[in-house]
Amino acid sequence: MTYWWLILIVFVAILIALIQARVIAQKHNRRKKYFFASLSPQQCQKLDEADIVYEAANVAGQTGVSVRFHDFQQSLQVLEAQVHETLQESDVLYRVIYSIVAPERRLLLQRLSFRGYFPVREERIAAIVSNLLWPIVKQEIVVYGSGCGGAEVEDNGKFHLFLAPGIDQEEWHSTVPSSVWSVATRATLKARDPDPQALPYVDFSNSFSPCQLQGNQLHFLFDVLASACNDIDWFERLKRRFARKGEDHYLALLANCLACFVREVRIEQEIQAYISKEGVADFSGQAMQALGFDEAVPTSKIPVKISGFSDGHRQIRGQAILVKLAQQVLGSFCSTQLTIVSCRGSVSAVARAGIAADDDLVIKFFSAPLETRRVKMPDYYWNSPAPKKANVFSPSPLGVPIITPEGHAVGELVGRVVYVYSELIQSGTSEEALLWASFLIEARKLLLQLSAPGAREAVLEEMFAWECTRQFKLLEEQSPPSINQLRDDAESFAGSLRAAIASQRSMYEQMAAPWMGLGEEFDAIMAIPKIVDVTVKDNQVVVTTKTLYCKDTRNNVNHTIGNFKIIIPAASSDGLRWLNQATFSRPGGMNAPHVDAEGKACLGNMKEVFSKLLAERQYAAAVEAAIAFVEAANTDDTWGKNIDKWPRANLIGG
Amino acid sequence: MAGYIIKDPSIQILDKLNQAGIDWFEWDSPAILVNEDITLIGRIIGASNFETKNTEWEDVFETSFTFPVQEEVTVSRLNLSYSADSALGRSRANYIKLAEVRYKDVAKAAQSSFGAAQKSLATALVAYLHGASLTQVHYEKPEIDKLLLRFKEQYRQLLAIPQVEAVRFCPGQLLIYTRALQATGSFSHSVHELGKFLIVINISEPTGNFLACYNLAGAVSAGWGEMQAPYVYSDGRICPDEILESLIELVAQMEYATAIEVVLQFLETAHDDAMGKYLLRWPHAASTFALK
Repeated sequence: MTYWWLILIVFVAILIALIQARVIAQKHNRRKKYFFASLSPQQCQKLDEADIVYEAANVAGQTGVSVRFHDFQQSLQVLEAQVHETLQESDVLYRVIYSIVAPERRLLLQRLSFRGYFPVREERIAAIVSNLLWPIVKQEIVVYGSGCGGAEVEDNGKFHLFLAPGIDQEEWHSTVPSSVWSVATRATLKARDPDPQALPYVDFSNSFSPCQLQGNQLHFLFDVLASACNDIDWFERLKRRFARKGEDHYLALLANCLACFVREVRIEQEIQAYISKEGVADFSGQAMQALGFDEAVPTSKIPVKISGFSDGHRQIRGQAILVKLAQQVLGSFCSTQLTIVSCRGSVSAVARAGIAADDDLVIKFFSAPLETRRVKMPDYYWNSPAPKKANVFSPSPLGVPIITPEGHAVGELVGRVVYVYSELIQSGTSEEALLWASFLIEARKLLLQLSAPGAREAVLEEMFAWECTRQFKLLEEQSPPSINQLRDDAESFAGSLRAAIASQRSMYEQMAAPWMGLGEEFDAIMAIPKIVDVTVKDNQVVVTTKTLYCKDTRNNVNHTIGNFKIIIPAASSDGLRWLNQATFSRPGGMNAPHVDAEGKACLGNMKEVFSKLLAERQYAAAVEAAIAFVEAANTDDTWGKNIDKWPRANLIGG
Repeated sequence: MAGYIIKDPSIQILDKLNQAGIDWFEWDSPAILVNEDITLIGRIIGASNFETKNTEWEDVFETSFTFPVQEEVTVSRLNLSYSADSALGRSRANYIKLAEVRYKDVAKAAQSSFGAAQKSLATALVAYLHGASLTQVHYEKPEIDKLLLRFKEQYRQLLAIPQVEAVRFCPGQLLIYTRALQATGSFSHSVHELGKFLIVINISEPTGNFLACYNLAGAVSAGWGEMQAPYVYSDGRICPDEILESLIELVAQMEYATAIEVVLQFLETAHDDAMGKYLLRWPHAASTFALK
């Protein structure tokens, strides 16, 4: 017992360490934040009413709100949320995978039934399914686990949820990406491709399709609960199977997938509501029959034939929405089928080439008739961002354009062919679906308008007049220039126009010359008797002459001037030079009577002649004129009167 | 649909296909594969005829096109009176070689100078047109109903022009599609077929080009590169000419029908000058019947 004091010290030290750890944890907890994705304005209001401080946040591509640690439990109570898992996103931020407890939950649970094997207790799955699906599924729900095989489903007014369809996973083609709708999968899971007739829901961050809807059946395309996953050891399996509560990662994955599915469905419902609202006047059966259209065939039953589309997951969803909306809005204009052809941005003839009956509609997607041009893609259609492409087609002379409220042509109607100029829908996002629905409604309105006889020209005339008037009114909003400003602009324009005309003429003369071939040009120069050679140097024609002579007209005496190199510039007479090659001493160092020591001449009236000849590239004529210039002296001129100082020539008969 | 292999396509052919929105695939470069109607392709690239040969693949054909022969503007060459091996002959060959380089440089300088003049003209034109349009708009100030009536009348007047096939619009742009235009020149004894045109009047954004004429049958190598018409450059711009003054006034007054009549007359007449003579590059009209 002599060391009792030592035990006391150890005990105190442990106590201090524990207190310190708690203080640190509390300090850390004070910084912690919990993120709830996709809260509605009503739910945010509930937080406000409970004086819970929250802030808007964007985590893993989802928008929502984050609350502080000490408000977390209260937030869960206020929101009536059930936590399935908390995922640590950063040192202080945790993402809560949750579901809102459904009202009348007991009643809902009674409407759920289970078939097959599940790796967790059924009541835990039931809680998630009832919480998440109650806003959109009003029927009884049958949940299928693994071991159900390709269950034959009766159309008995129930909703069928397949969590792990019993297809041999060995035959599944693709591997699930590392995260699905931003929740990690943690194990290697396999997936199968969506069925062609079903509407796939796509995680656009990785183009993976976690589930598909086909009528009243929602199929998960991968083993969302990891019931047959080999990466999970037996102990973990046992723990999952018997746990009554606590976090389970794959239940959280299921909850998140169902939440994302519900979110997408709600967007679709909004688009449906928009279509019904916008098209309400046009959709009445009476109006259609009065215009000669048969509403007896339900539009959803009109078969749709599609071709030319690619088959990536994203595109499959895009196509599914494209087809569904087209069928709904334009189906009533077809008697046997609606044909949709993706032309992938190429122009396409109006000819139907037997692809559809005469009274059926054909939609040529991402195409335009011949004789259109590409124009710049506008930024917005129907106040929504337009597809990100550089170009779009302009209206052709053949059809009637389909116009957005901003005045942009997005497609055109040529007889029974509807052209869609751009790829309004690709992946099937809600924004694209809304654009596509807007397009279809506009096309429908136009189809109805054009069904009256002689309406085509009247519609076009009206459209033209409105566009011109719109432009007129836009100009009216700007202030006019002052009279002086306008006069200055007019003068500046007139000046620029004159300069451009002159420059254009000069350019064409240069391009058109030589009117004869280059060889012929050489021959023509060489044909001049006093020429020895002609060549090109430094962008100039250099002509070498024999000895040239000049007569003094005052006494008819010939004088030797010498042999020359005449330098002929490109087009202007300014660079014309006469360089005397003679060895004798020349009066005043001059090159010729009218050519100074540098070879420059005082051309006088000849300047214009040379300019004209050179501009027209009549070099042979220019050379003859240059020789004639050396061989003539104006004795009335200061320079010319010195001709008598040049050596006399020994010319017979001179 | 059948696929057609076009061997060694020129840049002009690829440009024309691209402009017409025809997609192609690279095929044993330098060849391309197109999956479109071959007569349509021929029309787009301006061929007069085509031949197809079977290949080792089913439904894939090797295609060769024939193009119409262009008339040369230059005169015939003379016969040489001396041997090419003689001193004079060598000097001549040397002259030709050097002169060619020189002409290219000179022409390049002239083109560059013209480019600068065009740029300056475009700036001045936009300022003047904008000012004139605003002055006109504020001078008139009519009611919307009157404006609508006036523009409806304009539409009817435009369609009443025999050469006009259709009138369409984009925001700030009027698109006037014509029937095949034919042009004449005092130096040519026959009528030449220019092709169908798309005339675009840029009302709101004339900065690019306030009035552009695009030959839908394709541009022709004439004068300064590929030309849409003897007096219209490849970008659709009308060449600097006095006619621009009248056109600006008409567009500013929103008298589009008259403006189009003036443009059509301008397109269909070639003068006996350096630019006009290139009309000979366009094919002769099948019949001498003029639309006018």
